[in-house]
Amino acid sequence: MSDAPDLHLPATSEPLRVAIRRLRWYREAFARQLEELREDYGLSFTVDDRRLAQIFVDWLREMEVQKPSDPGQRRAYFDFVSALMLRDLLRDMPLKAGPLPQGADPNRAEYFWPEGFACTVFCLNIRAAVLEQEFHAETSLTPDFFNLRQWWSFRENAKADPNAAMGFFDVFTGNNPEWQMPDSFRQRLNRALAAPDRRAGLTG
Amino acid sequence: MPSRLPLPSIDTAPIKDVARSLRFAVEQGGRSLRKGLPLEALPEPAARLADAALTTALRIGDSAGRGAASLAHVLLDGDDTPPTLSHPEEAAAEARFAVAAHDGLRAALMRLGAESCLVSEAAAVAAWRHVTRAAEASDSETAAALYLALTDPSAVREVVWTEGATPPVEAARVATFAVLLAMLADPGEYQALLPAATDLALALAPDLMRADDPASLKTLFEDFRNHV
Repeated sequence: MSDAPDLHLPATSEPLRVAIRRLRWYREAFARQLEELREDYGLSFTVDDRRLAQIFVDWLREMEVQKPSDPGQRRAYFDFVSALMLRDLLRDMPLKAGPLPQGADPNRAEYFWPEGFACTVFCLNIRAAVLEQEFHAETSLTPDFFNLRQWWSFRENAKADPNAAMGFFDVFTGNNPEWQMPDSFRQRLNRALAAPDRRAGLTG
Repeated sequence: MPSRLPLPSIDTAPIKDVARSLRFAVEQGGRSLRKGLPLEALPEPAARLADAALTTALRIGDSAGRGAASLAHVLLDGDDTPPTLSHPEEAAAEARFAVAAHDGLRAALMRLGAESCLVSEAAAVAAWRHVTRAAEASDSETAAALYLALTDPSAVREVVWTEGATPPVEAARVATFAVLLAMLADPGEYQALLPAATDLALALAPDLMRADDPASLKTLFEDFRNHV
């Protein structure tokens, strides 16, 4: 994915969409993301492994419940479950950031909200890797991703309602955000059918 | 000259259990002595006498512990890769299962916060015999039956939790589910999968407490075997 912090994913002989649904691989990928953020930005984190496993299980179950039967909806579904992953990570936050490096600029998203930034780039990178592998699709981030006001709004809204994180994820990826019922895949499809280009406003 | 008869295979699990029980008792005794003797509160010469007695007891314990450990070590050599649960007829499947279950339960309990534990390998042998005697079953059904056989009566005999740790509810059940889930996921990667399987099992603990029949357990195994 261009512009976002890198993630060199762990090796796997399986498709990424399968590997990400294995806790061992998911955890390793997450740990690598944190390591890359440490190398690139001097950020440090401690991870609550038990909490991360619980988040993973909740995410699997939610995915299974909302899985579409129509193969034509796979692409939209991958976008949806990536946002859902972020929602669950932010809701039950498994990370605690260590002290910021000396001279860190708090006006940059990674230092303004290190935990949220780490979870977000992880989900963005996983989404980008899966879309590239499954659909040969290139992904990029919108300018909103680099806008601190968006991050301020993102943090406040996600704190008040974790589902709002899914809308911000869509904003960063350039998808039409669903703000009313972001955690319903069915609702997204219905809305896409009704008004494909409608773009709702942000809150906060 | 008549040819020699092959030696009957020896079931080593009970002998290992005895050695491990001895070692566990010695270690526990040492811990209790260290915690229980109020050396600071005793006046002289009682404090000095008690200190000397404790040192002697711990030395004897250490010696017995080393003996038990080396006995266990001598007897524990073997293949610790579990058999595939769909093929209980595999070579040495019973012994391999028992060793893997014993080691796996210990590893899972340690990950859950145990300081030490005592697990019966003979109980794992008994569970395997009991379950694989029944009619042909799928590997998930076998896992469900093994879970029930390993938890009632529990193959986990004793657990000492790290001071200050909050032990998970029904830790033995969580550990047992983790072990069988890792075996189902990939017997060849069993050891490497145990930490993730344990964390998954812990996340599934509320489901596990509700699933007390073979059908529900089988479903739980099937739902998560591909997600370790």
